[in-house]
Order: sequence, then C-alpha cells, then structure tokens
Amino acid sequence: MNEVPPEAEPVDPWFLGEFSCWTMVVLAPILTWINGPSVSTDQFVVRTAVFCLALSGAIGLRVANVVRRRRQSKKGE
Amino acid sequence: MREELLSGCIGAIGWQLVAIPLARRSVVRAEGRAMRRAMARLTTDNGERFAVAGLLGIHTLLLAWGTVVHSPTVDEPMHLAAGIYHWQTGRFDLDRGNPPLAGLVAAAPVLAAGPETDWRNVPDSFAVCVDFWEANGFRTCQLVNLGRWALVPISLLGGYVCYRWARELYGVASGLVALTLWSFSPNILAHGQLVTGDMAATAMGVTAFYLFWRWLLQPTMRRAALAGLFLGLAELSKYVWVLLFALWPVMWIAWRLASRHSPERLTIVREMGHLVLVFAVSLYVINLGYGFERSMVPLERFGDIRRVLANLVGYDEEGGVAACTASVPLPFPENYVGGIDEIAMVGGRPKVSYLRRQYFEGGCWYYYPYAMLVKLPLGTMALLLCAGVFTLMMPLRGFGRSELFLAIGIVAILAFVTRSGAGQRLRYVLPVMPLLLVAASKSARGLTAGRVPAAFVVVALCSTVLSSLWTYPHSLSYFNELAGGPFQGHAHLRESNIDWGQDFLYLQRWLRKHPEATPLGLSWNHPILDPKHLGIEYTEAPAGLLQGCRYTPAQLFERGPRPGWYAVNVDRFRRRTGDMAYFFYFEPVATAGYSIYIYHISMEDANQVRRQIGLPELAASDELPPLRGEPRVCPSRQLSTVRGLP
Repeated sequence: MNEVPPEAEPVDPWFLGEFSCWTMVVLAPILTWINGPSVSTDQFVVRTAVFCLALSGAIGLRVANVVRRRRQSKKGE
Repeated sequence: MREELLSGCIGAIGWQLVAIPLARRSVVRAEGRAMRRAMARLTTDNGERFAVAGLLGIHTLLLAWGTVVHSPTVDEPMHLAAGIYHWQTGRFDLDRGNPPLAGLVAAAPVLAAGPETDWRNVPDSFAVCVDFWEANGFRTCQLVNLGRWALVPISLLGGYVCYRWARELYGVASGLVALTLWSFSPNILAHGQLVTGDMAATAMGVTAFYLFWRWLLQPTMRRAALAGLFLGLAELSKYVWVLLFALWPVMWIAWRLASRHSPERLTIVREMGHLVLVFAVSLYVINLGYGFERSMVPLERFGDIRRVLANLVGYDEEGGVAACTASVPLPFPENYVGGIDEIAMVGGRPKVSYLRRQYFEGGCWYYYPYAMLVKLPLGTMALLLCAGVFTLMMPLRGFGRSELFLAIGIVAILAFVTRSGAGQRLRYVLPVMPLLLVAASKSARGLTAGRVPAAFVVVALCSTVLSSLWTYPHSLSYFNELAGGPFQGHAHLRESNIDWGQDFLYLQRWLRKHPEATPLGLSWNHPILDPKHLGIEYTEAPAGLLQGCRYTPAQLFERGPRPGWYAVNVDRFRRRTGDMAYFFYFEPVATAGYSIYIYHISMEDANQVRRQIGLPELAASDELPPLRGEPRVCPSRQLSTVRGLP
C-alpha cells in the first residue's frame, strides 16, 4: 500500500502449479530420509495422501501443459 | 516512375525494419497480457476467494484432526477448569497467571456438556487441575476436545488478518502466501489446537496490530475504537501484550517522524485524542472481560508490581517512585494486576533455560532466535530472507513505514519476552509469528520477477508446506531439517517445545495393540497429568543415578536399568538431574508420537548397560524389588562414588 510495485514480468501460473507439484514430489523422499519413517498411522496417512496428491497433480498439470502448448502452436499455424 | 519504385522499395524495407519487429513485439505483449490476465484471474475475485476459503478450510481440518488425536497437554485442563470456574462463579481468582479469554471461550461449549467440578482447592490452579482430572477421569479428554474446537475460529481469525494485512501491503499474491504460511505453520498448528492462551494472544495481538496500523494510515475514530477493542481482547489473552500500552505511543511517534509531511498541530492533537480513545476502549474491554470485578485498586496492594516499577525507574522500594505511587488506583481489575504480580513474583526466582543440551542459569539472551532457527520451517526462513533482499534492493521505495512498523513490533516483543521473568519457551514468542509471516509475504513479489525468483519462492513455499505436513499431526514436536527433524528435537529444546504430554493417547493405542508390553514402567515429567486417567496402567520406571550423588550398595541395586517394558517421555531424558539418561544406551522398539519412546529391555541388555555405568549386575534369580517412585537417597557411611552419565 505504501509503495509502488516493481515492473511485473509475468510467469505462467500453469508452469508455477506444475513446478510446485514436482518440487513436492522431489522433496518428499528427502524429508522422509531426514525426519525418519512415520511414527503413527495418522502421520503415514497424511504423508501418503500428500505425496499421491502432489504426484497426480504434477502428472496432470504436465499433460495439461503439453495439450495447451499443442493447441497454441496449432492456432499459431 | 523511378520515384514510385524507389518509394516502393523504401516502403518495403521500412516494413521489414519497423513494422515486423513492432508486430512481433505486439504479439509478445499480447502473450504477456494474456498471462497476466490468467494470473489475475487466479488471484482476484472468485479465484482469490476460493483460495482463501480453501486454505482456511484446510487449516480448520488440520486443527480439528489434531485436537482429536492428542491427549490433553499439561496446562489445558487447568485453563479449561478455570474457564468453567469463571462462568459458574463469576470470579477470576483462579489461574490468575493467565488472563481469562481463552478459558472462557473454551469453557462455553463445555458447560453444556455438564462437567464435574471441584473447587475446594481454589485458588491453587495445579490442585484444581488434578481435581478436575479426578472428577472427570477419561471424560476430561472429550471435554478438552470441546474446548479445543471452540478455540479453532480464533486461529482462523489470525490467518485471515495475516492475509488481509499482507494483501494491503504487498498485493494479492503476498496475501495468499501469508495465509499459506499461517495455515501450514507447524507452530501455529501445534498451538492453534490447544486450550491455552498462546494462540488467542497471537491472533488477537496480530488483529490489534493490524487495526492500529490501519489507524496510523488513516486516523479515524472508528479505526481507533476498533484498535482499542482488539487491544483489550489481546490483553485478555496473555499478559505479554501489556507491552502495547507503552509500544503503541512510541510507534505512533515513529510513524509521524517517518512521515514526509509534517502534520499540523491540530492533526497531532486529534490523533493524541484517538490514542486516548484506543486505551480507554481497551480498558473498558479488559474490565468487561473480568465482569467489572474490583477495579481501581491502589497500587500498594501489589508488592511485586511496585518492586518491578521501582526497578524499572531505578529507585529503591522504600523511597522514590514506589512510595509515591502506592496510593495510585489502577484502572484494571484486581485479578488482572494480581496475575501480573504473580508473574513478576515468578520472575524473581532464578530462571533456568535449556538449550542445546545445556542449562543456563538466569536464561539466555539468544534463546528465542535459536529456538526460531530450529523450529521455523527452512522454507519460511528462506522467504523471510528473500523478503529482506527485496527490501534492501529497493531501499528508497521498499523500506517504508510499514516495514518499520513490523520490525519495531517484532524486536519489541522479542526483547520484552526475553527480559521478562517467565521461563523461556518458544510459545511465549508465538505472537511474533504473524508479524514474521506478513514480513515474509513480501517475497511473493518474486513470483512476478522472472522465472528464477519465482522458482525460488515456489520451492520455499512448497518446502514449508511439505515439511510441516511431514510431521503432522505431531506438529508440537516439529523441528526443521537443519535441526535434524523431530527425533533430534530434545537435543535442542525441552518442555512445551517438544513434549507437553500430548502423546499419551498414542501410547494408549500402542499398548492396546501390544498386550504383551506389561507391566509397563513409565517415566514422565508432568506430575499434574496422571496417565492412569487415560487408561494407562503403569508402574514408575526406575530412576538412574543422579549425577554427583552417592549411594549405598542396596540403593545401587535398586537404581538403573532393569529388564522389562518401559515408556519414557523424551523430556525426561534431558532432565537436569540426568536420572533417566541411561535410556540413551538402549534402542527404542517403538515411539508414541515423537515425545514418548518405548523400550523392551532384556536382562542381558540391562546388565550390559549397568556394567557401563558402574552399577552392580542383576542375576536372573534375583528377586527385584517392585518398582515404585524414585528411590530415596539416604545418607550413609557406606557410599560408592557414582560415575557421571553422558
């Protein structure tokens, strides 16, 4: 509010979404290695659910991005 | 004709040189605009509302699940019982060390459930807590859960205010980053699900700060009154906010000094009037919170407050300020001032802090920075660093008065809590967290500053979320990867930073699945919480050797490891006496959360460790005395010197 934002150079939000999911997929085994295995069933459920969501999100967004790019290139042609 | 050809050629070349690049540039701009529109679609109107609702919904789910799976922590039944007492009797002389707001809110739904109460030991908070456990037994867990759910909206308020503040400061993306950090912060998740004043103080405090900041931006009566209302509520949550009565006038002066335009005298007078209104409204709210119970009591009734005041101003107790102010009536409820007096009295005792396997007499000045270094997710710290870099890169435009406001708030709270008499635990500086998160949200500018900064921000944000969820629902024991994770937490900090008695329900479930683990020797560090109320049958685990003590041969035989099943609270490992440190020699077979380690010790293992620590070996034929509490150390002439444990 008290300052002027810098010149914006937009980054594709779809790219950011996919990148977030892949980041989580990559970080998950590292965190498991550092923090150790789950200490309760609840924790195991949360970890598994988060990893599955991140992985399916990453794959889904990858596919969506490829389809979107193809459509854009077809429109360009 | 030639001229026409020439002009045609020039036109074609001009087209090649000017028009095509212009067209290309316009295509690139159009793409940029499209992307910007897509970004805007995601972050405004419905998209923004959806994101905010989604994050707050996830936060609610995480808190709600956390409340169910954890046993009541040490202090919770005490605060809940106090809240019930306030509602039932209209009196506030119980649990005076904590203002009543959290207890009152938590107790409201519990009253409908009809709890058993026993007020014989009022005003002894610990005795009342034990009585509450005795009266309600295992049902205490359900009652505490009801109270925990009642406090969940307070955490949502804190998250929403962080979002609004960051949004107004730095934009929509920053607002969402701040809300994400709040919703997944392990420390917020840990304390947002407990019946304690810490989260209430944090949420009410940040709301009060936000409303005061808004008043500074545009001083109106309405904004001043709102700031006063939430200042009062913050004061009713935790005594740390007494600081604001001194801090806000200073902040107002700093704000005015940092202003480019010198204000008119009339404006200053009007704003001073608003400040008076802020404090008047807050005083009214505080008195309202205490049901207008005995206000305007002379200062002389509170000995320690006078002493503290005298120390602050530099006079002795007999003369000077303390004597002059004896008859001054205080516009606060008697029990409110009495609570501060109690804390001041506790502060008079020697303070001991545990940090990195060491005990510090009189506290440690770097306790809180260190605790944050090991308890804040690395991603959050990276975002804070990133926000700092953005601020430094744009010193003139970037470092505004609002950053100054946040910085003063953070430093003042840290300094005040460090200087105060209470023992050192990270939860005491939880009110700093929202200010840090709002400051960190500035890093969201990286999302529109190119691919590399955007990737950095995304990785930091994702690592915060994932690191927290990887420890959830055991968020109270969270330690970041730099500290080695929750299993290494006890090497850094103790008590409510890692083990507050929250995992006894996990132990109970483990015991149900393993009926062979009986009899169970239990060692825990919280005398007012008896695990028998949670259905855990146990005997006390034998204490080891106290460092520096001498024992008779018979006592040596009773002490130290014995074969059997044991469950030891991690907090007990690091007790100053070192009496349970011998468990470090054994490998746990399981854990209940991150705070209770379960051991199965064989005779062979027990004797091996006994040899190592200089204790007589046990024989299988030996009839071991039954496990009782800690064996008494009686002075005797037949003494053996004890070797210290690692």
